[in-house]
Amino acid sequence: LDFVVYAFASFLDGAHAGNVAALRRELEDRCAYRGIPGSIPPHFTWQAAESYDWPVFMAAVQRIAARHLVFPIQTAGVGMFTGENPQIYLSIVRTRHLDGIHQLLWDKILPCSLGANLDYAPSAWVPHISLVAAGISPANLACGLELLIRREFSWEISVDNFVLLENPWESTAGIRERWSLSPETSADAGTII
Amino acid sequence: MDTRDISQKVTALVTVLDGPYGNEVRSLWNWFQVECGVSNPLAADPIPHFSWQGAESYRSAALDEVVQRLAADTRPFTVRTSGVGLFTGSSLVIYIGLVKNEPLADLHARLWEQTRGLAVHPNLYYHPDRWVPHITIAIDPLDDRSVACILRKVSFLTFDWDIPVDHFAVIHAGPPASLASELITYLRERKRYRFGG
Repeated sequence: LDFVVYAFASFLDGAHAGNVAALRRELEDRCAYRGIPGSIPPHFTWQAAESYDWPVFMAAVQRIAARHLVFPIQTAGVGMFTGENPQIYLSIVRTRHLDGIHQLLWDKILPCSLGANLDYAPSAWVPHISLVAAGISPANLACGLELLIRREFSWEISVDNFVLLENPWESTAGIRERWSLSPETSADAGTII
Repeated sequence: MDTRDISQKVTALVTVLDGPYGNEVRSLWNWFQVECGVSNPLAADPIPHFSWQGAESYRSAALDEVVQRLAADTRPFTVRTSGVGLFTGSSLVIYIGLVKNEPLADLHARLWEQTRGLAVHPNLYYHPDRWVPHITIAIDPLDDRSVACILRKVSFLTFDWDIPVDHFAVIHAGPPASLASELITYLRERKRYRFGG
């Protein structure tokens, strides 16, 4: 069997997806970074796992999507996962509403997951939008950061979907399923089942 | 509000990094100063810490009572670092991020609710829906060369620190640390509130 990793995620709204895609192209063209995610639209990930109990998973996500309204997320600058292989991303602020949805998804979906990545657990989650996932060295680091550090990244992004991605970082990446949230923007952004 | 009770010097409610992680931050500051030519970061931020909130001033007696009570009701916990972050734009801040886990977010929200009426011109970046908990390691003015030098150093380090959160501290603005840094505000810890629970 081929090994598959699933990412349960949300795509960004059109305008901000365009901004992120343009930023990734700029980083790739000017700094020659590798590991720029390309085939899957810009997104942020709620949970990752090796597999799910599909009927239970599908029903749970459908129910949660149907009962939630479109909501905003906010970015707050640039982040780096540091270490041997640094990665650059846009930081997403963990608001009470975002955390509420994340906790709900975690509670409902974790029991039907196999091999869940605990980096996405509520106690560890660092929500983010990836810009560069690999290929950063001491020699080329400054190029990308010089490009980013004087720009404002205080965006409000509208989230109207959940998606299930297959192997989001591989050439075999694909979108397995997509769910829409209710189209109205909630004045009471705290609707959580 | 009784203006006789207002402290004009309170800058922030923080948790100070004591012990090894405080030393790690001080080592980074020293390294930035020596290797990157960053001018006197110790004067800009002499106490390794993360901030829960900041304001121009507070009703200090009332603040003391609220923070004392909240600290007494809170059990110590830990919070994990999450790498390096940058508040970008016209005023650059380079920081070590903290995971906004449930105990941290809940305590922050309670502190915000209980103290917001006591603050004059609170900094709204510390609102629970905007707060990005962090440990500042460098702030503007930084030229591109210094920024590149700092980031070349920290990007390849591993920050998997579990930081004990066992107190609040009030930090006040004070006189400059030295003549060389007279334009940079010097911070001074005024009072510490140990958690009980």
